Amino acid sequence: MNAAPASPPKTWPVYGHTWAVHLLQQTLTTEAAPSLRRVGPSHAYLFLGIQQVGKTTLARAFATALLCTAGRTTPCGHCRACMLMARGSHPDFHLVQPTNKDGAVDRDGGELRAERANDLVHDAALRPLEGQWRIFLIQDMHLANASFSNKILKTLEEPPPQTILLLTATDRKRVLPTIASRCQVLELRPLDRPTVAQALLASGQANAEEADLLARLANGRMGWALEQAQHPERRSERLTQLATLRRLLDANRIDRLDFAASLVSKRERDNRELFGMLGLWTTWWRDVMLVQAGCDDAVSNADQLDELHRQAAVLDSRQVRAALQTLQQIDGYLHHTVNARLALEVLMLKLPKMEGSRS
Amino acid sequence: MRVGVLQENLAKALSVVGRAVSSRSTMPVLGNILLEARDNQLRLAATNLEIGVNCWIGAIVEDEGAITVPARLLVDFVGNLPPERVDMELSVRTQTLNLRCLKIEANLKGIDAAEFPHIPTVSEQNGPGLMDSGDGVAIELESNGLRRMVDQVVFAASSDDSRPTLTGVEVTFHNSRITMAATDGYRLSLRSAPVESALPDDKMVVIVPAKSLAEFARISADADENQPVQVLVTQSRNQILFQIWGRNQEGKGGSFHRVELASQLIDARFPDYHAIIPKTHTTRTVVDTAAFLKAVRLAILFARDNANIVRLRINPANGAANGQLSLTATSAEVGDSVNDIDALVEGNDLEIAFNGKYLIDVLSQIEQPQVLLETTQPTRPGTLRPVGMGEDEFLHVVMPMHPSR
Repeated sequence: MNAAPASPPKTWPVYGHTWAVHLLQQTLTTEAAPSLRRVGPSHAYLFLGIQQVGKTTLARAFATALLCTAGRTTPCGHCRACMLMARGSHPDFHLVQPTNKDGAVDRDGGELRAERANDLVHDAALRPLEGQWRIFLIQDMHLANASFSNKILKTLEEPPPQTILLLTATDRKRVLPTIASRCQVLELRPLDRPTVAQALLASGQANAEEADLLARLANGRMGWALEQAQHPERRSERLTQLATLRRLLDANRIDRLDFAASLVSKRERDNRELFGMLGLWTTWWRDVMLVQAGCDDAVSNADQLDELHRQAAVLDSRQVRAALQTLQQIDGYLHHTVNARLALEVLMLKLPKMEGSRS
Repeated sequence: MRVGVLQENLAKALSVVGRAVSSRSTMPVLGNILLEARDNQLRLAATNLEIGVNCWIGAIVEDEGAITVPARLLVDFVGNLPPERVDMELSVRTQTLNLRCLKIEANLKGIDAAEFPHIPTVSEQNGPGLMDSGDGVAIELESNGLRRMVDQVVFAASSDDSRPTLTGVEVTFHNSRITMAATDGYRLSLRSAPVESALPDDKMVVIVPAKSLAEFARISADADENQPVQVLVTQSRNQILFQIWGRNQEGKGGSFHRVELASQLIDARFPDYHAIIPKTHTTRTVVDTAAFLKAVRLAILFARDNANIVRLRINPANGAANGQLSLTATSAEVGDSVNDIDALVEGNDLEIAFNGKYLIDVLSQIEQPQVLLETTQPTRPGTLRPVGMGEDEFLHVVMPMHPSR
């Protein structure tokens, strides 16, 4: 087999995922790579990966490279197409996002609704206006309702020759098999810690220490790490949530139940924050277990090593494991229809107690 | 940008481009109208990526420039101004458009004109020119006649997006004739007319979205009847463009210099409708168009709740009695009506049911005083055409309904 085209792969505005970038770049070269049976991009791509890992960023970069009028495999960054893409107003690039009942974009609780599918089918039949391609980016395909999925099947299977559909989803299992089978699937893996840390440093939004910590906490989600770096107040939120956990471990039942009640009232406004906190606590218990096992280097909350050591010493490993299991169970319940107050109260009562710390 | 225009002309131009503004808000700039002052003209433009409309009006340009401003706001604001001179000035730094008319002043926040999509035009001047791609075909047509043709055909196109081909009108240029056909699966409207200007040697067939043609018909109501409409088609870019010249007169209602309406074509094959045009008939009925239309309008009042079913009973002349066409409509809840109109009937008697709405659609587009209805059986389609026009000029085929007894 011959080597890949001689031109060195230049960079896309994407961190990591080099294999995926390389694969997509190959489709942009006019002479077919021998490993690919056809010339040019496929009609549909499905980008899979955990939230904020960079699916949309990669898809956008691919779209920009396709529409760019100057560069061949890498967007040039200054042609009209690149400028319009950067401002999100390229007439040949359509973003389809989940919406809530009022039609506002909602990527947590929203859905991809059937009405949008009608528009999409109609728009996909049109020729591009300025560029060579007409590109649709359908975000969060796992939030598509059944009629949306079914309505786009025909278009997804056989779009007009100049139309390309890009889809993102968190998990292949949450997408209809009929959808996934009509796309080229690219499964994006979480980025490794050094890549995230270097990217954060390069972005100039974090110093070396912060970059290392955020890279540990990010679990390979580049988008999350960048968001944290750009919003320092989110980082103080994390410290508050850890402090809350520490306080609750010492607290008596009445205080714990009070806290559960306050969580319930908060959840009615915004449940994203609650799940964020539960996620953070999960990494915390994981860290405690790691410290107990002597793996200090692998912990996420590296800035809290002293506290981790203290809790690792006081708590029994079985207690920690039970806490972790409860947390996951409650997290699962809260994603379904249960009495949220009851679930959170159970969570609070089952938290281990740091009795040893008083002595 | 600093420019002065008459409120009436501005309002007219806004009504021309306003319908092309995108109602979907995924791209904010598409909800805006582009204003560009250049060469003592003001260009207004709007697009929803399927249709793009450019409209030029006379203006006094002191400084050239361009900006896009929210369509809804601009249309409503200008619509409520007194018929006086409107002065517009753009603050480039803040991308704000200042409008003044007598003692009224407003500032509209806009979006940079560079973000506005290129709308294809006849020449290169304002973006990619349609004629520059090499395979473009230009045809000149008489404006009024083209508008009438469009009106007589577009209503039959489907409004259901699940069959995109049928939402278009098939336009054929062949043998010095232009032919338009539209169908939604239940009816077919076919209209053809000779073309005086030169046509390409080869047969050319395009499918134009019915919405675009309807928009053309609406705009050309204000066109200068003495100037032909230029139609440009490029099959490689899959686009059609109409250039319409305005009356360009001072006075009430406002006017425009020129409008260019560019539309995407539907990239598909139109179904072969020739197969469904009945070749023979057993009953031929000639009735007064206006009387028939009135009778259907009366019948549909009772048919509305019953799927618009209007029954036609055709009786040939019988001795002393004249031929008659009798329309019945019944609805279990509302009641029923019968009304008879005189007709010239040749052939067998027959009872057939049609969708009354379809009959109204076609009858209201027929200018000739008499209309011809040809039928064979209650289960076979009927054809309608104005008396005095050939079968190949205007033909409407409508499927019957099969109401249960």
